[in-house]
Amino acid sequence: MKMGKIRTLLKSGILLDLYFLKNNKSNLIAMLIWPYLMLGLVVGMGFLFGSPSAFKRNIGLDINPIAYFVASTVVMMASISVMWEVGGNVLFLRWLGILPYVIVAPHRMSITLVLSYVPRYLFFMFIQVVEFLPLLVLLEGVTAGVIKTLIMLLAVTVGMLPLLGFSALFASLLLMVKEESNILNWLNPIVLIFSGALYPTSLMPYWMWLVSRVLPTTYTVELARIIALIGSPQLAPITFLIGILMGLAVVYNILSYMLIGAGEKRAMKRGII
Amino acid sequence: MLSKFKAVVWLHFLRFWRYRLSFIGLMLSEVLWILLFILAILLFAPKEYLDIACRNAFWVVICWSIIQMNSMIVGSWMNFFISLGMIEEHLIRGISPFRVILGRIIPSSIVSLLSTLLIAIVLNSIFEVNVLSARSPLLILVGLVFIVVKSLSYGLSIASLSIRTGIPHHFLEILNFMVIGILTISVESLRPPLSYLLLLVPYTAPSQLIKMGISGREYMFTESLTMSVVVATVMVLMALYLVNHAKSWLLRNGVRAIGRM
Repeated sequence: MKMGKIRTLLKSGILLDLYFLKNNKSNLIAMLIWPYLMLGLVVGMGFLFGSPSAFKRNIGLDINPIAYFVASTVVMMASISVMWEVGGNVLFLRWLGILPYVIVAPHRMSITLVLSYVPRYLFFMFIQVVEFLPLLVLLEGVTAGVIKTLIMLLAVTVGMLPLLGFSALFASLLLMVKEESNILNWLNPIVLIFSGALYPTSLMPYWMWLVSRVLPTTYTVELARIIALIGSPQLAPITFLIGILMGLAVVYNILSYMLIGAGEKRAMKRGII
Repeated sequence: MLSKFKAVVWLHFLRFWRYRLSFIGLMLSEVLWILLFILAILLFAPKEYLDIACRNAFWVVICWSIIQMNSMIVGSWMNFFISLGMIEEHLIRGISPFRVILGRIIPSSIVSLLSTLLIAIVLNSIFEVNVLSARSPLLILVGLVFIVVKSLSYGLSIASLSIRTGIPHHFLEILNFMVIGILTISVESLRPPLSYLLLLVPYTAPSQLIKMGISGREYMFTESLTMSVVVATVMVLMALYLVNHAKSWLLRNGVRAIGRM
């Protein structure tokens, strides 16, 4: 694919989001409020029904529960966003009646889905991670707060790469089935539960732990959660987790590139677009 | 009158059957989301108090789910109903569109009930805690009835308002999320007159009745029951006023959206 075409797709993605925000200010406000609401729900109810010391005992690590759930919230928002915006975009395009036009456009469907979405993801995730900067600075001090925010930004950026392929795989599946919204509705929480987004994988039964190992979100959660550990973050686990995420990115993106074409062909053959 | 009622009930059961996969999907996702949050909340609970924490968290989240379900399934359906052009279709046949919308309590109750049972089974198998066991099941039932009545009134009020103005979906969700805060506040932690003021906040008094039902320890029982009745009556009357107001507005001005021809 030529660079010019990629640039066109990226530019259209950026313009789409800028105008979306300009015309939907309530959406922007809701987007800013949501992460704090999710964090408030878990931490608030957790403190009400238990205590931070019991939390540390149950997890078995010396960690800050608020930072732990800040990381969880950020990765959850990222995962929900990618799964719905890439995987679920097929659904929205179909509802709008423009899916046939996107499919017959010169770009491959998977490329369109991914490239038009990347600027939006980076932009929105940057806002949502930076939103937690004041809280982290309050908890950990200025230097540690800034470093931990940067680690979260790194986690959601690197974590996006395999998740894009993973979601595009589901997009190809959604092209073949009719009850797509039903699948996406429960797929998101299942992926989040198995990834240990809120409940750590180490406390899960062995079979659930095994499933969690093939999900890209598991490693994104683990990478982001490094910020919850008391003290300075270590470089070795960060590098290790980035390595795994890059490996998964290659595998899932190659798979999605191969399968989404088959999904498109099947959908057109059966006339379900 | 009876035939109209039967038609509405029939419609919603028929829709429930036709869109069974959709409702199963909704129920599954509801269960999974609730489970995701309950598991996280229980990470804070000391092992020796896991039993009571599990039951309390379960009922708080179930109440929230009922409120959310009634406001979204009942309240938000008006938009869909308008876009299908169904308001006019019902008005010219002498059936109030709000009566049809009210029938949405059928799918919302079925989804809530099945989700509750499924979550109870899952929590029972994970933590070996019977979350459905309570000292006074009757109090829990009474509390739940008030929650349903209030949330349904709230849903109908939203449906009435959405006839005249757009209601951002996001803000409804945010508002519903904030309700959890109301449900978790303990009346015991406040002294009168603050505790009386707290009981006046919608959903607080019934949630207090549910808490009494779980623990079997009565605290401000008469006050909670009285406030539940008072607030529920006010919310029902308000919903009825808004519905009647919206209906007369509709007849004078027509539906603001363009219906399907």
